[in-house]
Formats: sequence, C-alpha cells, structure tokens
Amino acid sequence: MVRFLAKRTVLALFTLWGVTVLIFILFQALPGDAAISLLGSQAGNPEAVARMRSYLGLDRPAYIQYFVWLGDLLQGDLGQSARFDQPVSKLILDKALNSIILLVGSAVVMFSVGIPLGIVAALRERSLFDRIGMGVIIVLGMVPVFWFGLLLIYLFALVLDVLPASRMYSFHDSNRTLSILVHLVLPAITTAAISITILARVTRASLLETLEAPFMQALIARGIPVRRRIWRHAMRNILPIMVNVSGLQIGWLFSGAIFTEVIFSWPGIGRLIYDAVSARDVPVALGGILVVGALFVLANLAADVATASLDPRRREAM
Amino acid sequence: MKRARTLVTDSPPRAHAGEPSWRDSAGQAWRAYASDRLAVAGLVIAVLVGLIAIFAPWISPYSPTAGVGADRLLPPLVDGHILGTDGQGRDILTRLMWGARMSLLIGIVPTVLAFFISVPLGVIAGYHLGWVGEGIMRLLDVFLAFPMVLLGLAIVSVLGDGMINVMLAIVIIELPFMARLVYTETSLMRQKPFVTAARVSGSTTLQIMAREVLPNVLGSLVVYSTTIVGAMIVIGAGFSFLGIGIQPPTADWGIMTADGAPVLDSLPHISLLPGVAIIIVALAFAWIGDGLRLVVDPRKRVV
Repeated sequence: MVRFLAKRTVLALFTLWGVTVLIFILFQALPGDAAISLLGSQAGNPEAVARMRSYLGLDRPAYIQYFVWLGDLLQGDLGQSARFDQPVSKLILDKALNSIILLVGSAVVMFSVGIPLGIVAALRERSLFDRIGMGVIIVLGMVPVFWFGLLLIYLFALVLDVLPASRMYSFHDSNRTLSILVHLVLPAITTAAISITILARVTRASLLETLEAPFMQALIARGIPVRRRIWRHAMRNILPIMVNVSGLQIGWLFSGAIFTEVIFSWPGIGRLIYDAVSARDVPVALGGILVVGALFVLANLAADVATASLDPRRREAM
Repeated sequence: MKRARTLVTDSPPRAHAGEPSWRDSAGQAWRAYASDRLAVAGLVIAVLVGLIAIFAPWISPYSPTAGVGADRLLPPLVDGHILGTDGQGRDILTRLMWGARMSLLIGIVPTVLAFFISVPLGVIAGYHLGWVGEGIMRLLDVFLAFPMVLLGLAIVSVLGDGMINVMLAIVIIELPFMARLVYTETSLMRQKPFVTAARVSGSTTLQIMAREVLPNVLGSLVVYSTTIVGAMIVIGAGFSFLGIGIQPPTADWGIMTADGAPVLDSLPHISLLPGVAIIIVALAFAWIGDGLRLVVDPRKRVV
C-alpha cells in the first residue's frame, strides 16, 4: 500500500507540474500584450508600455517568467488582477466557499439519485422501471448542461414558479441558510445530471455482473437470505468501483459547474473564470483554471487511493 | 434493445468454400448492424440531418442571418414562419437547418483529424514503447488529467473565438482519449500469437504495425470515434453558448440557445428547440457507434 501510495502521488505531482507548464504555455501564446491592454488610454506611449512590461516581468525570457511564476505559485501567489486591483488568490478564495456549497449540493444529488437508481434497476433487471430508467439515463447522458439548466429554469422557476432561477440567495428571505438551500436546488441538479447517468450506469452494470458471479451462487446454496446477499456481499464487492467512479465524477462536477454558475448567476469560481476569460483578465483566468485543474487531479488521486485501500488488486495493478 | 441470448461463435457456413466475397462480408456486417434497431434509427437520423445540413441553402425558406425587424419574436405558425422568429426577426426553422451544418462540422471534422493523429501516436506508444512511447503517454496523461471543458476554455480563450479555433480545441480535447485507446489496444495486440508469428517469419516492426496491429486496432477506434462525435457536438455547442466559440450572427445551436434565454418566459421554444436538436444528433451518433461495435467485434454479435 505504501508503495502504491508513493507511486500514485509521484504521478499526481508530475501531472500537476505538467498542468502548470501547459497553462503557462497556453497563456504565453495569448495574442495581444497584457501591458498594452492594461494601460488603456496610455497604450500609445512607448515609455509607459516599456515600464509596464518590465513591471509585469514581460521583458524577461519565457522560461524565467515560468520559474518566477511557479515560485510565486508555490507560495500561494497567483499574481494580481489588474481589473479588480486585487490578488488573484484572494479573488478565488472569496468565491471558493460558494463553489464548495454548489459542489456539495451536486454531490448529494449525484449520490442520492445515481446509486439508488442503479441498484434498483439492477435488482429488477428488464423490468419496466429498469427499461424506462435506463432509457432516460441514456438520453440524459447526451443532454448539454447549459440546455438542461435552462429547461429546469423554464419548468420550475417560470412555469411552476416554485424555485428561484438565479443567484445564491435573496435579500428578502429572513433565513439566509434556508434561502441558499432553496436557491441551490436547480443548480445542484443541473451540475449533477451527467454524473448521475454515469454513476447509475456503472452501479447497475457492476451489480449485475456481481450478482451472476459464482460466489453469489454459493451464497444462495448456503441459504443466505437475499437481503443479506445483496447488502453484505454484493454491495461490498462493487464498493471499490463505486468509490472510484464517484471520485472521478466529483472531479467532473468542478468543470460542469462552470456552465451552471454562468446560467444561474451563481457567484463561484466557475463564473469568475468565465468572466475573466471574457474580459481577457489573464492572471485570474490562469489562476482559476489552474486551481480547478489541480482540484481535479487531487480528486482523481483521492479516488485511486480510496479504491486501492478497498481492493488489494488495484495496488498491484500500478 | 431486446436480443436473444445465443452467441455466434463461428461464422455461418458458406455455400462454397474459399475466400468470402466482398458481397458476403458486407452483407454479414450489415446484418450485424441492423440487428440493433436503434443503430438503424441512428443512421437514418444522421443521414437526414446530414442532408438537411448539405442542402440548407436551398431548402431553408429564409436567410439564416438577416432578420426582418418588423417580424421580431413571432410565435410559431405565423406569417409563414413554421417555428416563429427570434429576437432579431430571423426564421427559427431556417436557423435550425443551418445550425445542423455547424454542429456536424464541429463534431465530425475534428474527430477525423484526431483519428489520423491518434493512430501513429497510439501505435508507436503501444508497440514501440521505449522512451518515445513513454513520453507520448505521459504527455497525454497531463491532458487527460484536465477537465475537458476547462481545457477547451483555456485553449479557445487563448486562440480566440471562431470556428477553426473551436475545432482545434476539440481536436486537443479528444486526441488524448483516442490515442489512449489505440495505445491500450496496441499493447494488447503486441502479445497476441499472430504478432509473434509475424515476427518469427521475418516481418519488420513497421510491417507488423501496418499489417497485423493496425487492422485490429482500427475497428475499435472507428467505433469510439463515432460515439465521441456526439459528445463533441455537445461541447462545441457549449462553447458557442458561452460566447467563446462560433460567433453570432452565425446560425449555431449553442448560440441559438443563448439567444433565446432572455425570452425563455414567453417563447421557450426559441431556446429549447436547438438543444433538442443537439440531443437527437448526439444520440444518433451514440447509437451508430453501438451498431458499429457489433460489426467490428463479432463476439458481441447476438443473433
């Protein structure tokens, strides 16, 4: 296990490093000069441009810029947003809690819908529930996140008028927590939609496979009651794969959240990135994408480690 | 998808011995494909949408980009606009038809490109191994470690918007997945007896790759590429929706969804119909992929 952990961590670190290089290269390739766009009306003054370039470190070679940037990064310094005149790390931290709320909400929806749906569909294979459920799941898997968000807004906010369509809370509500929860429902469902389909399909397929395994036959022969067979034996067997898929899906929720935050005006990191990309606010876009990318890598690492701790075969596969 | 449960283990007996004719194998492939009714439905949908896309300039009743100011936001079935008009007085049916062009281009062109790039990358990494192969796979892992949408967002925001750049972003998004598939399949093939046999009989590495490995790998890649087209159409539309992909006034399903959002309250179909089109096309490609899998992998065929 220690060996696995070490190897997997090194791989994750390598990937993280690759992510920083990739992002740095991408933003180096950005057309237009940050110094000129920052100066605005003074952009015509070559002296001011030169001073701004040297202030931003743009006059140094690219690889030195990278190491300076990486060194700052390791100290938690993601640079400065000229648009807000604030450190990027502060901008991201300010939005982090909002994104975490959305993420937790989406994860709750994903687990509470995806797993039970998969289990029931597997236990009643070929039943009406299974067929309709899996049919819906296949269609839902192809649904564009942004479209699904608008559909939910149309149905629940505009037609039925039962749930709010945008922002995180309303100033009119006396109870802030309750207000956030109510505002969270539609964004959370939107973000979780795709992951629900994957989790349900994996749950169903692996449970079906396990139910047909020889050891399940042996349990029947030994007269173990059906509930115990399923909950104690079959579920324990599919646990590693479920943990793995869940971990990966939590990583995907980060990226799906970008659309959700834009559609529902949810003030999170995704919206911050989107606004920064639209406004060409390079340091913020760079920092935001880096942070989400790093979280994605860490979620994958956590998923693999948790799976390995549950399934010894995984440790040797490395 | 009801299927009987007998697996075909041998090819059906032929009337006369010898090499199967082209007609025989094509017929067999089609029977395998057609045994999946959804795959046939997917093919029909894809062909229909393809025809609409190709002939949009001739069959669409109005201009896709120039609106009539006086005809803004007409409800369906008014003044010859079957699906009504949008906020700029443009016919929605026309824009849906032209949007099919964008979606198919965005889905298919990058996938074809990525197909041809991923084959050499994956085969070299999977067969040759060594530091080149190792390097390729590690590099691809970095891309795979990135959420797709975020990677695309980063690329498009750097390259700027526009159709070519979105296509490029999509190539970069799907390339790691496709190359990884080729890599995995190739490294599996490498250990197969027929590859060893070829090596013993004196074939060079290049010959083995081209004659033994490639034909066996391509089948899976074709299936995967078809399936991924749908996902890429969804992602491409997502970029347009966010305003960082194809730019207005081009008729694109993602742009149309965004355009309709302000009037979601009164005329929801403006925003929701393009999404339905995206889902239908994406499903069609997924179903075609399922059918092709039956053609490519005889072990999965059920008669």
